[in-house]
Amino acid sequence: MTKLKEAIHLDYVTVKPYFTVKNLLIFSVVALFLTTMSDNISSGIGVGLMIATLFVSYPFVLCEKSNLDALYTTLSVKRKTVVQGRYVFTLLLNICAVLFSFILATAGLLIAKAAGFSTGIGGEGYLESTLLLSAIFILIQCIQLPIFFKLGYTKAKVFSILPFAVMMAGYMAFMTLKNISTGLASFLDKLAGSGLIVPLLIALIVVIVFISYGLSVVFYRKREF
Amino acid sequence: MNNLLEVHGLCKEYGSFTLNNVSFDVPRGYIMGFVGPNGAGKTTTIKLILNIISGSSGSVKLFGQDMDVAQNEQIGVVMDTPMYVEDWTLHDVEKAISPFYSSWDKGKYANYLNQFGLNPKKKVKELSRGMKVKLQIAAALSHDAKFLLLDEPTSGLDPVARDEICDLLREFVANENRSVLFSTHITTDLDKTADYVTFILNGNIIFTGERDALLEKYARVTGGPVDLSAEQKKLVIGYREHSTGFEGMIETVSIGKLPRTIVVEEISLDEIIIYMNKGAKLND
Repeated sequence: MTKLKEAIHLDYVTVKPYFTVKNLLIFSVVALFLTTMSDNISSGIGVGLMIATLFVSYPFVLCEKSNLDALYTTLSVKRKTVVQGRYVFTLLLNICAVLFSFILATAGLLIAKAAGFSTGIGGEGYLESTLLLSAIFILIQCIQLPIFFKLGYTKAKVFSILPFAVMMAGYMAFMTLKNISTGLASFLDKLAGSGLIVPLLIALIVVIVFISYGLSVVFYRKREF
Repeated sequence: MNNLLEVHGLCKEYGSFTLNNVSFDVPRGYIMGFVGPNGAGKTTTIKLILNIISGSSGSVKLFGQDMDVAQNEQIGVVMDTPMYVEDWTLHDVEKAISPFYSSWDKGKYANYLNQFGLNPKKKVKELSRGMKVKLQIAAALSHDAKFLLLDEPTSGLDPVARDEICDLLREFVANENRSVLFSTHITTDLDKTADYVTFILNGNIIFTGERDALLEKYARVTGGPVDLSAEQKKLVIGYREHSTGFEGMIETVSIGKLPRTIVVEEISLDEIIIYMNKGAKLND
């Protein structure tokens, strides 16, 4: 447990030099702009999750550049612990991104509302859309992480667009099926009405995270530095 | 237990390169030079010792116990380029690695940085090569490492910086419970520091033992162009003919088999590596 905590801390120290005020300002301006333009808090949260997804790749970039994978071994950290640490670090990064962008977007919308530019904090269903956004970005990260662990950043860079292609293909397949199958459409309507969508989505994400983690452990154990 | 590190039968295949049955011991209280030309297998052996890569067979023991990742805490590792993020300050380096060492001493780290003239606010990328090596040594000494493992620490350094590092290593082994394995192809550094030498060539250990025994084992020979018969030429390692004669290296036990006209001289570590390398290529 101590080694896991230290591995998470090491990931944080690794990317800390890149958590700069300049990056924070760029993120804040983009998030605020999109939130107020769309009048929806989810836009700001989407930007936050996008930035978090970018930062997830940073430890891999730096591992390759500075041979940190070898450093972990010299620091007596087992490979499984490195993977566990990276997943927990990714989770914490996402939580921080959602919380920070939520506060930022809410404040932005409240100020915009006071100035008469906005109608509120995003209308109905913003919690559901935040959850859906989180699920999409977690899915992207869950596909990217095992590829990074298997190939390292440089080789995996090309494949890191894979999740976006998978998401796009999945979305198109889903919409096509929904359009041609009235049964599927009515089933989805019933599901939406039953309130089961959120727990099912969470369960699906948990399963995907565990599959992704298992693959990462297997891949990383076989890597040579 | 007189050996701090015992390496036995390490094997590893990398495409066309094979590390073949590498075995040697590092005695307590001494510096062992690990020499060989580039690509001989020095770094691969070091990575196997540290469990950075896994071998197909063999064993490594530290303080008589089978090596696993957990034992790396007792080892101070110094590589030719440090395994630290370039944008880390030297203070960040401490924050990053100190939690992993139960015996990390903050005061010692600060003292070593001060002693080596390293500013804790500087970034790793702002350090010269010599300073980067010193930083790694400072980190290794701050967690009370019993064994220092250095991979080409002096390559690319000026003579003054190399001498300083050699001095540090000598100080380190003043405590007889500590040892150093020092991989290098700059053998003049070993003349000043190493009592023991392990010589690796093409993935095979050619010699391991006292440095003086290696120097006594071989001699440099030179002579005229027609001084040697075909059988005698086979005794000369790295035999090379030129306009005025030949040169090469011979095992001292075979000197008696050569004509008396041959000039026999003491040989340096550098020359042993060069002739061995040439000999291996000629045999290929």
